[in-house]
Amino acid sequence: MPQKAGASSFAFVAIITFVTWIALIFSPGIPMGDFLQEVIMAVIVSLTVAALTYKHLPNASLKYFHPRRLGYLFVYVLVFIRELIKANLNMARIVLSPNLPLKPGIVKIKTDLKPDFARLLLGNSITLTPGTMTMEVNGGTLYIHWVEICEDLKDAGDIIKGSFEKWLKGVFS
Amino acid sequence: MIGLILYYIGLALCYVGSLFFILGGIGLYRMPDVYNRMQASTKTTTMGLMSIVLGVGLMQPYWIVKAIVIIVFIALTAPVGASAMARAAYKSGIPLWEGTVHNDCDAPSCKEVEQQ
Amino acid sequence: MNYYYLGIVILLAIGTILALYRLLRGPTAADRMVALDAITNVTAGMIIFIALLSGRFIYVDVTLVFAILSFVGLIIVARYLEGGI
Repeated sequence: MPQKAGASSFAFVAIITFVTWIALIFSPGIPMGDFLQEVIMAVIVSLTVAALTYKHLPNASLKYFHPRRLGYLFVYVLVFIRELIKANLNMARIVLSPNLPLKPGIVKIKTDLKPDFARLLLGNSITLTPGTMTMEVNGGTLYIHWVEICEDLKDAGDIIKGSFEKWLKGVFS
Repeated sequence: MIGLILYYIGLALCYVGSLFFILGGIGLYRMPDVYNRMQASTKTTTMGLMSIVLGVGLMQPYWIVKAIVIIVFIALTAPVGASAMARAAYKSGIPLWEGTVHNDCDAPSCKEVEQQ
Repeated sequence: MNYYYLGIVILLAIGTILALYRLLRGPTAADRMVALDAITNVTAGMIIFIALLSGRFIYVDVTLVFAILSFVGLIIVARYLEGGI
């Protein structure tokens, strides 16, 4: 099996690098010949990068391109955008109210997500959602700074994580 | 026609982004301690920058690909920077505001609490 | 220049001045770091707005590189404050 897993990891890294390179190199009104040249260069670079790094990225795998996972990722992005707008309106309300309605505190919550990248995405989402900010991630424990802390701390995990954890589980399980 | 509509949507997004920058500045001015200032400024300026970049991408439709690349990059890195700043402030021993209600980690580093 | 654009530039300038107050005044180093982060974000917005005003695509790339460099600098300052680069 290691052979197959290595090939899958190699292909994943190569595809991601290729897409990133093309997105960075793309500029409007580029002549077709130049663009072809860039595509050849992108293939060379992505194959080199993948050959150098795939052994160090055992979690990378082609299974993340499965349509079900991409669907979960799409829903996650939509929820993220909605929460981002809500968070900013909430922060605008706090900042502009005459007597700052602050009740800050640091709470500790647990997460079940296993891969590091999933935890990173969860921490990022928590930072950009209403009134919360990730201070420290230590294993499966997250320390959250919260501007308006809730009454009952038992519900804290559910309120902070919202539906993000569900969608991320769909992507990374 | 569609270009004109996109132009005005982009202009509105640019105004929204600039207003969020000002909100971040007011938050920096008014909030009582480092952590609350961090909350106010990072959220609003991240949102403002994303909004301005998207607005410019809509006003010049050929630029939209690079604009989306910048937005994805900001969405991935700005929260990481905010977390690093918060952890650095906490570990360098800056006290929480006296109105703080609850604190789950009392040592200079949360990690030390976890290991005991 | 279009008057709409002038309004956006003035709003961006007010945001910068508010953050600059905290950068100059801030009691601790972490306050200054937060203010500097806000100012780099506003500056990135200004650069991409310059790209729109001058109509040159190259400034969009400048914005991207500026965002990357400000992120790296922020991480380095944060590591320094933690004690141990």
